[in-house]
Amino acid sequence: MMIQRQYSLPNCQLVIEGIGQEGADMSGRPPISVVTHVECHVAGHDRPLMGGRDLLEGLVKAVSAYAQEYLSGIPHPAAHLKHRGIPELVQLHRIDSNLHRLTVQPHINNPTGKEQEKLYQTPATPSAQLDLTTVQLFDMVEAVDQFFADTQTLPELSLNLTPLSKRYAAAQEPIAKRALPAALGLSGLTVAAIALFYVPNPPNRRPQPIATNPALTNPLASTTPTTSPTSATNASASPAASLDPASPDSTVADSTVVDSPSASPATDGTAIADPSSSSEIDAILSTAPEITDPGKLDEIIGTVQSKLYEGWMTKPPQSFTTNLEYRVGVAENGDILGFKFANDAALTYVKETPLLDLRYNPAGATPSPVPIAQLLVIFRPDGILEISPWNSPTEQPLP
Amino acid sequence: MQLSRPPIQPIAPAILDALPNPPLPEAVCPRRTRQQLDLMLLAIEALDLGGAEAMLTAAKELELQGVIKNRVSFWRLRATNPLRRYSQRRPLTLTEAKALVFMTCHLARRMTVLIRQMLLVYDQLLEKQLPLEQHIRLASYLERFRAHFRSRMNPKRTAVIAYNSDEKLDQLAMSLLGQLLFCTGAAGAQRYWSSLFDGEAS
Repeated sequence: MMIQRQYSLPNCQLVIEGIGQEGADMSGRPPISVVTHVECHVAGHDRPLMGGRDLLEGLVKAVSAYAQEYLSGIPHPAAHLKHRGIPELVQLHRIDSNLHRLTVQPHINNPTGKEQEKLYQTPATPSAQLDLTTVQLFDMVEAVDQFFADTQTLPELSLNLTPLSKRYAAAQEPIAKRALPAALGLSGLTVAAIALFYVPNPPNRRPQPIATNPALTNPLASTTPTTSPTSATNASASPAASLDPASPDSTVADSTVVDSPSASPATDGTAIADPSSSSEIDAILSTAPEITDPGKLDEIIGTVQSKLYEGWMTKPPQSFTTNLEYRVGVAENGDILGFKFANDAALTYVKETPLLDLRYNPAGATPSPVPIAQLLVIFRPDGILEISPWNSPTEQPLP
Repeated sequence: MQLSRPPIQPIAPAILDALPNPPLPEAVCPRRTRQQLDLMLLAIEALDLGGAEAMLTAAKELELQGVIKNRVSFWRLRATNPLRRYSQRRPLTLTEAKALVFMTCHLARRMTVLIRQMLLVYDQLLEKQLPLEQHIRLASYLERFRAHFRSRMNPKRTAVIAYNSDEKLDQLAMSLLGQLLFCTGAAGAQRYWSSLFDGEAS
């Protein structure tokens, strides 16, 4: 009994005709066990590929292998050459970023030579050749995959994917190219060794005790006399953060008494870096030129998000139960220049966020106003960080 | 009284068993695998404005929360990409990689029509030798991809320096788009998964 199976995709149609197994259940969908004719139509190409089982096997093998090659970028031999340099019946090659050439060889080393004539309707042409776009190629792969998945058509042929072994990847680059890094490294080392030979040994200097600077140590002692053990470790771990009067304890005090005298040891730094005085921050936020270019903002948000996530991960698990919202001023390169609390919880739990550790301290920087991006940063109790431009807080962030 | 919690073992959903473990020298993902997994997700983000949210939703739909718990853990998986600015020095397990593969294929399948359409437009523009900016949707995809890539990848890496021009990044974006199309197929996840280990198997 003749059976026909079609696998149709918008750009490709694979038609297989064959004979069912004798004695098999002919009700429903009988299995095809012998293939008599195969056709593969591709949109935009008038002549279909036609042939028998050889063509089918060659086609599905090459198309499947080439799909893997397309995905990984590493050549699959099954899509090109057989062992011993004999070309595969069906081959696929990339000829452009979006074009793939499918070639069917006219000669096969196959004893059933009589079928040869039938295989190719036009024996004058040496081989059939189709140029497929990526979408057409995909449709062909999809037709092949549907055929593979169909257990009622040649059940012995099914999708069999195995990743290529290391030697195929290594064969991609010529030996000269692969040896180049090693050669460069060796010669570099030689040059460095020769150069360093002539460099005199550095004199042996004893470390001098660092002169204590009262300006650096006093504010800490005076503003936070009752430092808890945790903030003490914080202080020692990140001296940059502790030197600033905006260590968590003092921030609480400063935000209630704006411009308290204790908040002025860092007057040499720019005001941006000193979040102790909210009026100063306000001034910065209102005077500094703002970055509004969406592309740039996206970029800055990405950088800040990575930084904050990384910092947040080093913190102990959060204990806050409401969103912590901050208005953060960020320089073009992603440095956090200053931040303001946008809600009360943000103030209470500021130590659980990485903001204090990550704030950029421009020691001795000029106070010229740099362009800043204003961001709304929300630390959510479920571990999610939301960042959006301050002026359009509805936009969704990216991870 | 609070009991000390045992360390949570990531629960591997049954769906992940559909992908076979590749024959690797070590049971962790090689460098190229981690890179490709992240770049494909980056392409999805550039395609879909709400891509980042959709990914976390997809993790829930696919019941992958055992592997991808929240945004932070998701970010940590993606940041195993060695090209990232803040690349994580942690291995990516095969289970985690499988979860990312399913997520990619799931999201790509939803956007099949869009992906096909954009690839067709790309072919037409190339054929007529028109600039890619002619098509608004395609141009915005390419622009977003470039912005994402530049903001997240470490510009000091040789592999990143290789993409120093808009043209080269556009090419990368288009080849990723084509690869995403192949993820939408019936055997998309299997094909994508296997391709991740091409040239790495022992």
